[in-house]
Amino acid sequence: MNLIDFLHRIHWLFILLLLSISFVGVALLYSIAGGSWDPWASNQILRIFLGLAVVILISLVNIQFWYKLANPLYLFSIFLIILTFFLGKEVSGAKRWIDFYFFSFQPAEITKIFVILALAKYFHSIKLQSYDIKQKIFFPLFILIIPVLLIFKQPDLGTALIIFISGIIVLFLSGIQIKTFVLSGVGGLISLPILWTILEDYQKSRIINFLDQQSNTLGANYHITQSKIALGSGGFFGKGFLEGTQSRLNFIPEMETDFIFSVLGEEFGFIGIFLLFFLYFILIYWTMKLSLESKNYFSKIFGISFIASFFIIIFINVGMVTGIVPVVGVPLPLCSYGGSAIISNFIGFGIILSGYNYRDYKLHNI
Amino acid sequence: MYKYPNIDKLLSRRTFLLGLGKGALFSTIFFRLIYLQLFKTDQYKVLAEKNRISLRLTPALRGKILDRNDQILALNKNSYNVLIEGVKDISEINATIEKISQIIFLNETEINDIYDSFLTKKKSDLPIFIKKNLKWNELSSLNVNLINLPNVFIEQGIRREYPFHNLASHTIGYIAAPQKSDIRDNPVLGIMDSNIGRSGIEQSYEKELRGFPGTKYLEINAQGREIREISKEESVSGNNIKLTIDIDLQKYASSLLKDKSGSIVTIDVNTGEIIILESSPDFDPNLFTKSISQEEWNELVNNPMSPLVNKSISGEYSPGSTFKLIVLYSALVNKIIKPNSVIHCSSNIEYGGRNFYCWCHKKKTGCWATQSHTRNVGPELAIAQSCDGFFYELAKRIGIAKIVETAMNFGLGSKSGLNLKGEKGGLVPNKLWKKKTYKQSWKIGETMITGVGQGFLTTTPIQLAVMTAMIANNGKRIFPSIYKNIDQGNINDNQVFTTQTLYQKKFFSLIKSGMFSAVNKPFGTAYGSRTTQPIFAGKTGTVQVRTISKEERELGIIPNKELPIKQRDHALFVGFAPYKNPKIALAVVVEHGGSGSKVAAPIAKKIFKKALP
Repeated sequence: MNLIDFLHRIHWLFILLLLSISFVGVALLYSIAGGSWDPWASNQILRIFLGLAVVILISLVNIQFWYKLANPLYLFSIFLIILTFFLGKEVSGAKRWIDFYFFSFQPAEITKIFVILALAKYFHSIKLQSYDIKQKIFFPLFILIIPVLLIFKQPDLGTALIIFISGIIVLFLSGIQIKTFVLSGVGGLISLPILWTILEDYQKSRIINFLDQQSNTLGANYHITQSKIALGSGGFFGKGFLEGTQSRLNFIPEMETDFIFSVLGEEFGFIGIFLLFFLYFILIYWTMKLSLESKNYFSKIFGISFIASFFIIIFINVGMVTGIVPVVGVPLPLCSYGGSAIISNFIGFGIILSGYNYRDYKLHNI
Repeated sequence: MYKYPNIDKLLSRRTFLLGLGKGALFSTIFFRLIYLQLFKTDQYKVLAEKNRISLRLTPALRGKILDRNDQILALNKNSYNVLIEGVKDISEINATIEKISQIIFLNETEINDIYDSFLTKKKSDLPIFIKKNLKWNELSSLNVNLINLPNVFIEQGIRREYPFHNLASHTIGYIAAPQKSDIRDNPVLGIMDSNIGRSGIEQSYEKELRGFPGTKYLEINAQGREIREISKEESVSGNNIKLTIDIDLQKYASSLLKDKSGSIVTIDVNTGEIIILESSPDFDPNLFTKSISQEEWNELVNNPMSPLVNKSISGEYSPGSTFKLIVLYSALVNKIIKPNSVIHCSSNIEYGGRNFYCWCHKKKTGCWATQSHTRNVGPELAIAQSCDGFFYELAKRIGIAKIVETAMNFGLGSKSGLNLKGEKGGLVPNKLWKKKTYKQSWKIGETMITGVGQGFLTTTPIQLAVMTAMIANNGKRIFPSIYKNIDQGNINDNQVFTTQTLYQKKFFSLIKSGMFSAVNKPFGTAYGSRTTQPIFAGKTGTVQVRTISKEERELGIIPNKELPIKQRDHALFVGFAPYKNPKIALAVVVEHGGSGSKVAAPIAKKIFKKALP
């Protein structure tokens, strides 16, 4: 393989799209810091370029390799999550981080990808063998429920929820009867009160606050109130880059992570949001198109599930900052500050590109 | 190749369904954003501005208060206050109080004030005072530790100072933090750190002294910290107020009433300018500026001599014999008697089944007239000796209606119009009043009692001073003023009475010569207080606080000094000087002081000697 051929394999236009979305995030981080590269924007750029290397590297490796590695990677991520309970760095009551020497890492983020990867492998493999409905539903549920429970215990309600939804999407894609979903949905609603009892107090109060947004605007609803003010005051055209008062004067909480979207809405207005949504739309559509071009189910199921999960995360984040979804602490994909999420997403897109590069490759089991 | 060829189809269908789901979710977000950013944007823009902009009012420099010789009675000094800003909940306050208490002392009142202002403050973005008027050592130890105290800062402010402390405190008044009712009337006070006048001149001329506050629009961040100043308008200082008071004379008057409860009012007989307005005991207005402690406040409020009350304008006393001047004038002007008429004083008049005793009754040395067998008393002698018998008879002859008319013309029975809060009008009783109040008809005996200044009749010291000044100036109606900037003497429109004056001049001369004799003739009641060169004329008054029963009178009256303080007589004296060309008039009231001649007249003598060159 010569260098030209090598470079030709890299899907540059797609990578450019990833970069442009990421750099919307960088611009916002620069603005949040009051027009400064420190402390977020410069770090974020570093991570984006690291992620870029990861995407290129992964995309050039044969999809067979990732297929083989799916289960070990899944087990590895479970191991890392268990590790957080022992070595985890405690941040505001939750142990979600593992501190390495040079950086901290949030295993839950990468678990999002590896759970889908493991499930995709499972459904790919059973299609090549027998097709037993019982086995088809209970084993993947088992694969899914273990990380969900572990992450829920960290506690990280948002990520646990997203992994759960991602798993359900895989199950949905793999052809489980819609009747089953309806029935389990009803079952879920019935078991909701039981679920309520195992929630932590702060999680309960968040849900209560979501249901009652008008009261307590200075207390727990402060987040949503200030975020809505930021978005609403941005109006159609926005206040302009570096001109957002809600962000510049720190009225929006956690704006470099979960509430970065409010900053976009304030400074760039409805137009700015529309443009970001347009980029996201192209990314999602393109990913689906690339995934469906693959001849193996592994790539198809992974790609479509991954991007559906990606969409759900956007929905929950934007729904949260606009006040139509409870505050669950979910970052905006590719934009929010945070290395784990950026790298994890780039890994996901890397695998999708690998599947596209090797779309005609016939996967061998084991 | 594949076992289940329909799987491809299934996957496409499910992908399509997933896409529909995404579209549905996306449209909820989309419409939500349209709602927030397009339909509600005006409302949220206002909210964003409210978040960001904090309007602060900067109090104007309060006007100074000066005495008639430009001595400063109230001024502003720099002070240093420690404040905290951007406090969201009470736990931050707790933590800050705990930290600061380790550095400087905070007393209970100050701590309560911090919580109070946190709980009552109108806007959450305003800073809260932790301690005002820091001492130098407090300031320096706080400055060193400021780095460990987030959101705490030191601000230079202005503190009111009264350099003469207790002197003229009732007149000057004091300033203190506005009360809830003040803030309700003027909401601006609630968002500005500014004390307001609570008594005296500070209260009456609040608007003039206060000036106009400046405004500052600040941009603040979510923590309530000031980021930058958006715009600023300077405050306009209040006006200085010059009083007619002479603080040196006030000081002297105050020393004369030391440890006594009473009042001294000195007034210019021509202009009505008040030179001394002394009420004893007094208080230090500086206490109120530095946030008065509960003990200090209780001490002031529970003191039986009521130091917070300005007795010169709020103390209502029976005028006693000083009122005889009015009765005599009323008799003369109503032609009841002629200047050379005499009345027989039997020292004990029986009327309507009641005995009316003259002070000379059963006294070993009676009055001058009793030594003559006729016991006839003329007007001048009646004033000089304060003959009760004369005035019982005279009052009976004049009738209450005419006495009331005269008294009112001399300013009795109504507020003097001095612009100070808490002034009382006294009471000049008449038939109608009696009917209204007691549902009884007026008795002649009550007219006789009124004739010697007792009974229902009450007057304030300032009214007595005005009354005396009008006698001294031959009946020119004057209105007392304390504010030098406005010449209130010229705004009177009581022309009717003024034209009368020339015509009645001889009556005033008669009354005044009686007052001269009272002080300067051996038979006068205030002869003990005479000056070697006659300077002043006056009239004593001794007011019974209790009724003396007939039995007591038979047994012999108990001397004042053997009575408990609260039952002792009030000592009064009114007078003017110089006799020939009157300049000032005065009224002295010493509560439970004893007799007017022994207690009040000597004080008057000292004041006249000091006040006149």
